[in-house]
Amino acid sequence: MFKKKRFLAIFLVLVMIFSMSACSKKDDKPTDADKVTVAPTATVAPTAEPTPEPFVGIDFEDGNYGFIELNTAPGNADKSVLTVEDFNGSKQLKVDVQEDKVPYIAIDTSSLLGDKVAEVRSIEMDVTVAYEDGTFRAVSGNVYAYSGTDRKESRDPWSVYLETKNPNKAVGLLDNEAQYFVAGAKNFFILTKETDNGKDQGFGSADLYIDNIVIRDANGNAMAVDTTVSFDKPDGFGESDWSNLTRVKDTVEIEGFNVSGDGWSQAGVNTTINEGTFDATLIKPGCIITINYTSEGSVWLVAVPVDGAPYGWTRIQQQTAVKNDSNSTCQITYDQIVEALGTEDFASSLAILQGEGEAAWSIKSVTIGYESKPLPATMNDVAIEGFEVKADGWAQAGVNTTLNGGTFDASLLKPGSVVTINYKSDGDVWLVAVPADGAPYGWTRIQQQTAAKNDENNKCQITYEQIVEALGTEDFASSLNILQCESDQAWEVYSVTIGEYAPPMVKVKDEVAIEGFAVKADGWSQAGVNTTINDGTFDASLLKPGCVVTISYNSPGNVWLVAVPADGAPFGWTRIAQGAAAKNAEGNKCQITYDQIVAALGTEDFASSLAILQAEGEQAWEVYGVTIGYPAE
Amino acid sequence: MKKRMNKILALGLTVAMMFSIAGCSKKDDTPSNSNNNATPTTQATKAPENTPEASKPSGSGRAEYTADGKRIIKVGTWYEHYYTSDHETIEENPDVTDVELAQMQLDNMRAIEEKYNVEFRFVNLTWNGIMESINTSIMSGKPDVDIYETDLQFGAPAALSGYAMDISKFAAADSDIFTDQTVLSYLSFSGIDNNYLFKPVAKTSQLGGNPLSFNLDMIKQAGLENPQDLYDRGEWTWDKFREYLIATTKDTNGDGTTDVYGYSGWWTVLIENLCMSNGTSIASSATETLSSPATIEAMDFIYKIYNEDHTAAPWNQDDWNVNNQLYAQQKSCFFTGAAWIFKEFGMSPDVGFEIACVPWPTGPSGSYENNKMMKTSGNYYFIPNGVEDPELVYNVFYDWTNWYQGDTELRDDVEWFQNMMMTERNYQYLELMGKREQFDMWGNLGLGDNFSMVPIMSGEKTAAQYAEETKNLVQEALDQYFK
Repeated sequence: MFKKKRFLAIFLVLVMIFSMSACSKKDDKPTDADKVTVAPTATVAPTAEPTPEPFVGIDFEDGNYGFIELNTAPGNADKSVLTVEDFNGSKQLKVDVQEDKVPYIAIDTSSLLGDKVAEVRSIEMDVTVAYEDGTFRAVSGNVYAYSGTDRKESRDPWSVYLETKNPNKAVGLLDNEAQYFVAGAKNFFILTKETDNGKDQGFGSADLYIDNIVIRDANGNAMAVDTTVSFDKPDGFGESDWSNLTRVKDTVEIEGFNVSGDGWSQAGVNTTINEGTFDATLIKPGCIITINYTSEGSVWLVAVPVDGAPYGWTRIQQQTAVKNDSNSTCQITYDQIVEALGTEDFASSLAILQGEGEAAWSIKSVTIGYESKPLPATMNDVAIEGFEVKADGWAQAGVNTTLNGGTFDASLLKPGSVVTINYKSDGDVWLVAVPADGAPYGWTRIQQQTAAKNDENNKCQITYEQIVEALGTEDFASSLNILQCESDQAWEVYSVTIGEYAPPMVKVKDEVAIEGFAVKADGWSQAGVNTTINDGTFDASLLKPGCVVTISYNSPGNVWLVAVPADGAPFGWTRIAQGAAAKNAEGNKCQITYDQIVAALGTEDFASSLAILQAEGEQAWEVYGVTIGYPAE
Repeated sequence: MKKRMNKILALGLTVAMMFSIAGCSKKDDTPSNSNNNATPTTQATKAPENTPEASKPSGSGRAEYTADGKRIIKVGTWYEHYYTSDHETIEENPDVTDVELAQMQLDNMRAIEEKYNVEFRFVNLTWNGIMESINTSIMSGKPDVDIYETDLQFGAPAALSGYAMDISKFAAADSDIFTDQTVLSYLSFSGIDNNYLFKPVAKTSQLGGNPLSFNLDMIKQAGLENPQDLYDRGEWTWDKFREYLIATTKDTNGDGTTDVYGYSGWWTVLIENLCMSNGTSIASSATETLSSPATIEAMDFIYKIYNEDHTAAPWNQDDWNVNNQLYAQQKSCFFTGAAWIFKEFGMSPDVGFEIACVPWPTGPSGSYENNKMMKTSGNYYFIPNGVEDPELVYNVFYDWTNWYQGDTELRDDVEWFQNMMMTERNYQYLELMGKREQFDMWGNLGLGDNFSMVPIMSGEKTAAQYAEETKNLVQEALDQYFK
């Protein structure tokens, strides 16, 4: 009955529409009201309303983003903060840019898709640009793909270039077979923001909001993903925790050594003499085996011999393998293996190499490599403004000196200075001096293909003394028109700084952590711990002759200590070893000696009148921990 | 300085007159034909003031207008430009140096706004964004901007893919761009009648050619006639050049090793100039011409001087600058010159001999009268298809470019180039070369190490072999370029 009434009503409406249409002239333009009147036709087919297809991809509504990680390893990388937030009516991944640098947002496609990653042909996502002041400015970047077993890079540009097209879609394509992903090869995409008009115009960098990530196969179909997975770092991705460890180079991953087990159980790989794939002769004198794992305890190796081997079933560095602070990586050297097995000829009789731990453990990878010598740490580095340049191989670009109408004051290059160049190139990078007319030197390459560089080939150093040697004069600043960079391959320089070598750190033993010294602050702000004489927990009398205070931190600049005295103290508010603390090559640890503290405060009896011990830096800083120890040697 | 002050005064009066004329005209006056279409209708003028950019009430509906009826003309770019409707003072350009010229440019902008009832803005779309905008918005029928500034690596494909409007649709046949080219010039593509890309004329950008340069003292010592005289008479040919190279290649100490070569320089410059002097190119349109007989002739010339005559200095692949500086060490007679090369490696007084320059000799398939002489570079602009009233857009851009009101001395400071070229005669040849530009996009195709004259210079391949083996690669790159 109800249906009959509804059909009747619809029929009447349709009759009215026809009637009105008949009355109207052919060239009459429909009005908005006309459109509204026509709308009831939808009622005629109530079941025809298409059901929206479920979204297949990543919309962040589940709050998961563990499969996304920032790569902070490149020289121009920003340490952005990633969060999922409500934005424009949905949950989106916010990329909160911290340092006006380039965010590298990596999406672990391999983990999201498992073996189906080989079917991927494209990725797309909605990117919204948001500036703090609410004004739109254009930004752009690239979607990089890292494909195949060697993770070869390819890229596609993206941009949000008009306010009316914000958000815009960023798309990365795998155009040809060479770019297709390979299962098990840890292939992934990275979205970057490399051009930011707001930053260039002095308004600060834009944050990004990312939503609706869709990965498609060859037929253009959206592929289902598992958003509960975690980012599985490939070797060399991001900044690893190398604390306590030896940095390695020329690494070779032992295939199949991603295994796990319960506490005191073993799993690993068979060697080639035991029908396996692992060639144990790769373990050569000088090599270092690096094990990446997750476990609540320690992880070590176990050697299972063949019959007749000169050694038995043996644990190697059980609970003594050197591991990093975050307990994610440990290392065992060739010498330690030889010591444990009692022979250098262990490879010919090794049947299985296994991992083991005292708690449940999971090994992500095991590599064999050799010690890498990092560049020495520098301090008090000052960036040369405008030295963000790039060019093709054998082409030069750089900055004009003040002598030549530019902003670079070449007199900053003084005895003891070290020029550090952060770059991207497949070749070497060096400096070029372009003289003014009448200079006592000509157009000169400085340390061409001989500048000290790191193993990652993204940073090199040239000293003042090397510049003087190349130009033949100490008075080069008064006749230097342009300072440039050059390379034998296409190159891009992210920054050039002038600093000085930091004193080297010493190895320490018997370290005691100062409780509660995990603090952070902006540049030139202080934070720290109260001493016991100031209602705190830190007993300053632990600072004894010969001790070394080690600060673990994260800051683009230097970090040092500040002593805040109690009333009547023989010293005032004092900075200790400001810009003079010994520093490691990674720039994440520094050391201040007891003698430096005494020299700064002018008394050995500082403990009785120290109210607060603080950290400070000239740039925003975060201290993860402060220890007191003694030199190991 | 006094001369310049007079010019500035005169120009100031001109601009003032423009203001005066504009001030006398009635609101609905139509200043010119081009403005006719741009004049917004009454309806647009009545748009509520709180509507920041009222929709265009007439025409195609694609143009944007301010609330008070001014047409907004936008130029898509990827870097800052001065001075536009966004600027009120010359100090808004942080790099301003010549305040007089800057003020003229700003005044010119105000005059244009008044004359055409427009706002003229550059919109920084970023490098990636400008390419995306071209590839998406033009096809949709509503270009994001009225003019695109382009690098040729994406401007040329855009033009040849039908995204750009033929210049003749908005510029009259007798206009500057088709006649004197004082303010704007256009880029012609080989084998294509229509022209799409235009750029502001700047004398300095026309002085970037690579004249064939030589040690005049060596020429005289060898008893040879000055190649400049030969060129002037139309007798400077490849054959003559080859003779000269042989005559100037010397083993000065008789030890069986060549000490002075006839020629040295970058192969990139050599092949480009030999192609131009032989009336050909490598990739100047959608079809490769690497395998054309004339280009093979050019490559064969390279093969001969390196492998048969041994008159060219052996190529140093490891350090390209070494190839450029041999002349300064008097280890070669002829070399690829350029103002920057003389600046970097030495000019006549410094190197101890007289440097002379001449256009490249005419090849067997070339033409003395018509040979191109300088590879086109720099940024070009185009008006995309779908832009409303392109004539107005073009005229505004023309006037904005012509802030110097035709007085090119205010625009062009060529003193540095004149100094670098050392003699008036050298400079004149450089100037001549700049007037004969050729577009060849081989360097923009991303061929990298896959395209190189090294295999020919080393004798590993003949010209014909190389052309045969490489033509598909170039064609594939072109196909990709134009896809």
